[in-house]
Amino acid sequence: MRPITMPEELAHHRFFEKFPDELRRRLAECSNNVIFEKGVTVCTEGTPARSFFAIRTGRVSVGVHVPSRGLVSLETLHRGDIMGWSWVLPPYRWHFDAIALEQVRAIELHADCILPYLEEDPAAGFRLMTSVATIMEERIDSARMRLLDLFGESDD
Amino acid sequence: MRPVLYTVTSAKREMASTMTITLEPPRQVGIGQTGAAEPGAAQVGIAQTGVAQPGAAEPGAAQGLVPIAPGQFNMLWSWGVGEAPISASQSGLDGALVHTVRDVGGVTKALCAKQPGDVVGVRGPFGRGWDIDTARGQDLIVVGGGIGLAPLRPVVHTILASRSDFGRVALVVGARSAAELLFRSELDCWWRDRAITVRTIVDRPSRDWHGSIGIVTNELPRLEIDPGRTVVMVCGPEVMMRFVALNLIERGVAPEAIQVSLERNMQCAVGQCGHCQLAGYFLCRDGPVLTWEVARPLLEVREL
Repeated sequence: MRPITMPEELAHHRFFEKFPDELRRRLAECSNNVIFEKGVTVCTEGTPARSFFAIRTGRVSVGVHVPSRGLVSLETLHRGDIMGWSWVLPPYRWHFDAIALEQVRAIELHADCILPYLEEDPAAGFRLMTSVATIMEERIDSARMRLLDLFGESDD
Repeated sequence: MRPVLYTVTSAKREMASTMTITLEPPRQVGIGQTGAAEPGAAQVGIAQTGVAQPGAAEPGAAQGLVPIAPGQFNMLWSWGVGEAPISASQSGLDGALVHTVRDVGGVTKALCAKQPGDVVGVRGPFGRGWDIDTARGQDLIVVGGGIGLAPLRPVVHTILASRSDFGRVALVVGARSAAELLFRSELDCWWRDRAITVRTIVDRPSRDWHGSIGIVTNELPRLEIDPGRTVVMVCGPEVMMRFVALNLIERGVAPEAIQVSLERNMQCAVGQCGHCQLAGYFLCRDGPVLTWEVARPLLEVREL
């Protein structure tokens, strides 16, 4: 059985599955597989964000370090999720900490390779950025819903 | 329609403000015996709408209401306080009723304080429950938020009792915190048994919570669905139900395949008083479960 290629791996990930083949092929050239063992730090707040991750298996906790409380989890990302958009906008630094809650297999996509290609090909850039914006929208919607505290006591 | 007096046989605290009470029906009394003890209540053996007819019942036989279906509700009456509509959190029992009540007001506080041996008046069952038959042969996504899991629990029991009748089944449960996950031990059993997919998510995690964090809609994109053969049942805060429905419609699920359970001020429970009226619908009679196709235009009227 031949090994699965990186464009095929991307095609199996829900974030990339509807991308045009050519875009997936170019993104694959900027990608490699990574494994984070349980408890390993995936990224640290304030450090350079030069890549993002497409999670294939496992779970990642995204949080913020609070003095005397340690890492306070804000969100858990799973198989099929994308982790990280700090690579898109200056100053290209991670806004949060993330650690692997269990062994995590992911595809790492490198910004230094992707951004020049997106500038050359605005259509590809638009396609990728609208997908990133969709993820941002989902997370903002989720954060707003959580602000509503729907399951809390009624003020009525 | 007057309440039938049931006796509380167990009262289980689910969490700080939520109790599950089990109610047993009255026994058929023999000649010369007296029935109900509390004033204003129906005497045992009086036939009325929704009450099983006494027929040739032997003295000592259970004399309760007709069985309640998943998603239907009973009006539970605490003497001297009032009535509240409460869905069944278990169904298919031989005469007994199981209701899970969250203490959010005068009547529910009184119901939550009931202990074994106490008496609760019951009228019902009322309304239209979940259309489980529609889901037979289909995939099913069940989404419960907070106390909204209670009316969905009988749906899960029905599925597990005839698992092969259904395709893929996913249960997504959201709560404020892990401590506020309703039926936690049962959820753990369902998760371990793997007969259905169980996803839990909380939006206020404690340090020892290592599960998903967020709201139920975060879990939906993580489910593989075949929109053409998916039925959805949702119960929880109305905003949550709206976002769940919109999320799944965006993925191709038909509005008529999405069932939601709406909560309004039910009082008479028989479509007469109008307190629970939404446009041309009386939720006590035409609901509480409606398809999203029907519910959406009703919920778009902000004053309702």
